[in-house]
Amino acid sequence: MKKLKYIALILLVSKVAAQVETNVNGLGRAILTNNKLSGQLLEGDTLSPKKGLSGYNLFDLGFEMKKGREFEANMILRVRQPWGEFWGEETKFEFRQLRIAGDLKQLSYELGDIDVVLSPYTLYNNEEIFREYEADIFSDRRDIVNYENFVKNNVWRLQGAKAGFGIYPTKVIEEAVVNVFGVRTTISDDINIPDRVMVGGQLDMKVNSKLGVKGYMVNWLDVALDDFATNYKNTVATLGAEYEIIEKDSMKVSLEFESGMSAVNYYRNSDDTTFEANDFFVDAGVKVERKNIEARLGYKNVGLQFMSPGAQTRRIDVTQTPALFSAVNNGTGSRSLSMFDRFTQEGVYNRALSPVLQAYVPYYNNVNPYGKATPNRAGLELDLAKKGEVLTVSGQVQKLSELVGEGSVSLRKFLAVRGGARFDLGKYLDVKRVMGLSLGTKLQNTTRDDGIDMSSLSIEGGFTVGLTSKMELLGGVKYLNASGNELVANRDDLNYITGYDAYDVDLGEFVSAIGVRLQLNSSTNFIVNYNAYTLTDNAQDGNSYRLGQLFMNFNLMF
Amino acid sequence: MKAVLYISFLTVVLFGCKRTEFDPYFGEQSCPSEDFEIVDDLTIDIVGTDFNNGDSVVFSAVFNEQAPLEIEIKGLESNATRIVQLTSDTIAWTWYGESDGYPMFVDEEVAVTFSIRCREEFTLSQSIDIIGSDYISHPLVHFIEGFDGNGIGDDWGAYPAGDALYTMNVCNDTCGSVSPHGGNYRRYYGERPVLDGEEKNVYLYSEVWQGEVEKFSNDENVYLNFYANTRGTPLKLVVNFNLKSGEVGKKSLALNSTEWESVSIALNDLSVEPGFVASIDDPNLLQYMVFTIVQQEAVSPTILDVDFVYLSSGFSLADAE
Repeated sequence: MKKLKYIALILLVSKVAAQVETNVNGLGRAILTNNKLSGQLLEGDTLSPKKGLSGYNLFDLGFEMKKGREFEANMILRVRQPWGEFWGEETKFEFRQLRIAGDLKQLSYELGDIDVVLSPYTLYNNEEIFREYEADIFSDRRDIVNYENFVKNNVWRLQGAKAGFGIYPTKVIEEAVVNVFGVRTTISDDINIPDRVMVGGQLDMKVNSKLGVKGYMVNWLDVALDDFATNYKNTVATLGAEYEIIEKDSMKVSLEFESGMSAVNYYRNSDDTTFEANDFFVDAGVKVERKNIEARLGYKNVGLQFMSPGAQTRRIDVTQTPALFSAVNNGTGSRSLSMFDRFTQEGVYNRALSPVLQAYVPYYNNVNPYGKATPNRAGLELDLAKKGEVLTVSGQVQKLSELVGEGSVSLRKFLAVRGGARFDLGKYLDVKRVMGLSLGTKLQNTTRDDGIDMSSLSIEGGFTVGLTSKMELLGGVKYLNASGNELVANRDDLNYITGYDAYDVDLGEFVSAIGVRLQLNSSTNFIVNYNAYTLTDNAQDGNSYRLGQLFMNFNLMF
Repeated sequence: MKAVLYISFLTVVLFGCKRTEFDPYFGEQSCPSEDFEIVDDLTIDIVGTDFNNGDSVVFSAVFNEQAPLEIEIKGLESNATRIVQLTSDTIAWTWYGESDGYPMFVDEEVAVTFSIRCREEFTLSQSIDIIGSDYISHPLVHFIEGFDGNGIGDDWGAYPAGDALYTMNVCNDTCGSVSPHGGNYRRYYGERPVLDGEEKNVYLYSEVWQGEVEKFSNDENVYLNFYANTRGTPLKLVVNFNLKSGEVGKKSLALNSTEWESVSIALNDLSVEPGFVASIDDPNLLQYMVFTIVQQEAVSPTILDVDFVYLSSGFSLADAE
């Protein structure tokens, strides 16, 4: 019956489509993996799975219907079928996306599933890890996970409405753009969990050729119920500017600035507790650009109680268990998310914004686990980059410290150094064949006088070489070594620290992969690669393991 | 000039605002201070290791200031764990053999670590051979009864189920060997004659429980869990329970096992609180339960060995096993 409804809907859509400008597009994907787990983690384990095939077929059929400038509907119907299920069993139909958009004179609008992003301090989906120089073979996998989770650059996919309009030149400004949105981030259970909505917007003004000013605001509030569990209000407002102080020959020097505040008022009905916190941040820097070289020296200071859930929600929920080999210890334990899982597991990404600072794994990113808006950080950041067609090189140094001790009078000190290069050998040799190399590294160190000391080093690199015009050989490695001890705070719903997860680590993670990418035609490709992951845990006996995966992916886009 | 104004504005913003001060730090204490000293050394005192007989292990220490510490106990065979985090200047914590959840400790060697956070140099590690108990310490698990020792708690009462032809024998310590979880178990045993043409279920024996149980912290399914073995005899376990609303619920589970296993009966979305507390206005409050053993398939004898009984919320021990 459900399938009939979908067919009827498609027919209806087809009929309507005949009257308007239409476009049909689609994405088909078939994934098959053959996986094997071995090592100390499985010693004495007779119950947990150790190998197996998995995969799925899916097809996203997208309809775009446009009637003039005023109306455009975009919807994606998904059919997904896991491998090994027959006769349509377990086949799922769903609407993956529904969006209505258009232009009403000067006003652009979007309704339904919308993508929203403001600044890194107000609303921003931060990268989960430093991966600027990630090998293409890993980025291909990550692209799938990102697509499944609606991750595009730094936007959050939410449901609601947004609108924008431009302001023509006046005596005061050259131009201005205003964007506003409203979304629901929590759905009420109609009993005591209230709907939570977020409304916000930005004003982007170009005062003159040298001065640009931006303002951002995000407001959170709960829609009151008679018997409510919580009442949450939070206002985040920031003001930013970029002022060009020197422009001479090919050199440009500008000052950049963003500062703002958050004001939280949270009432918890169960114990009649009200939590209030106001705090602010400042991020200022000077940027120098000359030809294709760019340098920026900045200072940031983000208060302990600066709370901006839209910018501080983590992309990955590290408390999730990977779907691949999830059970260990005879089915009584769960395998933790590994470096490999972080870019291959589709179900571990956050799709909702969290007002509580979520858990993180310190050896992946301890310096800014919540992005630029990570609370309780102050210090200097230096960025250098040289971008070219053949060679791109960049580096960054961050030297930060806490503003307030977490459970201690001592403050953590953070140092992160990262950088890398991407080299296009094909362009360098002036041949048409793709020949790309990349290499990146990140070193981070955290210390606190009362005993905390953790360091981690990650290195990644890879290559993509065109064997023929339609076949590319890809390879890549990721390596991480971490040692030391650290404490990660557990927080209650008021963000108060109630305890700590202790990390005493001495481990190494290594992922390597090699494979080919076949471009069958302009819209179809086939990827096959083999991935080997090794965890060597020197601190915990019986925790080390190896994971091997043969991965095949057929893609069709039109 | 504009640049000067701009920089002045930044300076005012940078240094013009004040923040809430946290004295001396934010959150629960994470590490001892630099002045931290040990007054009495960390000590692990093994009173006894047969937890079925009420033995215990005592962890103690005295410091010159409050300090966060952790006690971690891990079963090397069962992988059971008991992890305790405390912040105090005087430590006196006793372990009675309980685990944090499933699995539970068995008769095995356990690795014990007694440490002060951020002061690794004071860590005390030791291995202990224990005789495991059936006790889980978990906020969503309530231990109703374990039959490792002789006799049962005061929460239990028993009566025959109204079949005059039959008396079921119940014993704790004289009916069999040790269960896989160590210690004795309770055996319900009877040879009720099977009457000619009798195929229907026959209620044999009941036990009633009413007790003090803290309310679980969520409203998910409450499960009644048994670690049991029917020795190849088919039977049905029927649970009648009374709710505060006055309603009577009834659930049952057919059993026929040759191995020890965890079996669970979902009692649906109930709350569990101390019985008969009138001030708690919850119609789904579970107040007491009657367990009845039902002869099945006209087979005799009927045997039910039970090692321990739990209530759990949100998950069943049968699934966890």
